[in-house]
Amino acid sequence: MMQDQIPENKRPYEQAYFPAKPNKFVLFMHTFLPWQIIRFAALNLKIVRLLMKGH
Amino acid sequence: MWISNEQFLGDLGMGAMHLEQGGYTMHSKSFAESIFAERDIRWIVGAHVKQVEAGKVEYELLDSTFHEQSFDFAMLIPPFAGQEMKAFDASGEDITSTIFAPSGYMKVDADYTPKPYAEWSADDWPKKLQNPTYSNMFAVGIAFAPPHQISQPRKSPNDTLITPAPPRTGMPSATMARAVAENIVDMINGVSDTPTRTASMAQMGAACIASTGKDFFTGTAAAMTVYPVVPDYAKFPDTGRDQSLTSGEVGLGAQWIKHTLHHLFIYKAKLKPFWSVIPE
Repeated sequence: MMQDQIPENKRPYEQAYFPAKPNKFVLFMHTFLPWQIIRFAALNLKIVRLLMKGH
Repeated sequence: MWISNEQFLGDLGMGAMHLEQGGYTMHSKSFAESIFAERDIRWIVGAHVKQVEAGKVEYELLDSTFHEQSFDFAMLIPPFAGQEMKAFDASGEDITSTIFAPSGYMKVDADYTPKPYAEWSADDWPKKLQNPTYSNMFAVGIAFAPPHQISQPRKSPNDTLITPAPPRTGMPSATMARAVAENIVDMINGVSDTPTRTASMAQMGAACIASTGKDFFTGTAAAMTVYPVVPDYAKFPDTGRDQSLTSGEVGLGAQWIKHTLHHLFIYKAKLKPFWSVIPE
């Protein structure tokens, strides 16, 4: 593929060429309900621990 | 396009943070750049906005070069700034410099001794948020004068300071407010002559949820937790933070927390039954 067919920002050595990008599985997990229910509980627990330590 | 005075994306005004991702301890620069790149948002960092005109913003970079960025719609967040207030005592003497720092924020029990970045310490940060001269004056959140930034300060060759201010709104602000309010109550009721509770930003954590799509089933948010807000390299030599409480992730679960906090805080603001047990 010619580079001019790639969005300018994503071409080699351009800004968005370097960062890690999520693959399809990771993107799926971002909204996969069973996993996100677990993450919701885990995040709440972490915030409660923060509150207990900082108050 | 995102324009920021941060030295790098993910600095967040608190000298960045480290988070655990995929078995690695990752810097928040990688975390933030990944989110921006995924959403095709470009970024300009180390930038000081000099002027905004219709459809055009002018900014200076750390190398003192000047640039322009055109826009159809722009949202600018002004930097934190103290108010230009004057203070006088009962005899009419100007006591502004006793109460306020040159930045316009109120002086509290912080260590304001000027020192280089390498000598900054968590102990510089105020604990009781009390003015050292007038014991009945307190300041919390963005009202108190921080001893210095948290991020490494940078100046362009033109002497323009290009660095983010310490974040002290939201959870840290409310945590300070509660501690100070309870101290004031005790002092008024004669329980104690001096504040007994402390709320140093170097000893408190914060959670920040940034929405990246609000739908209840397909939306996501970036959730970040950090402890402590001001890094303490004496306690946590590797990253300045407790890594078991410092994290960042993107997902629908974080968006649900955003929804929950939204309703909880409005409930609390309305002083409905048991509002005071809702944490900050």
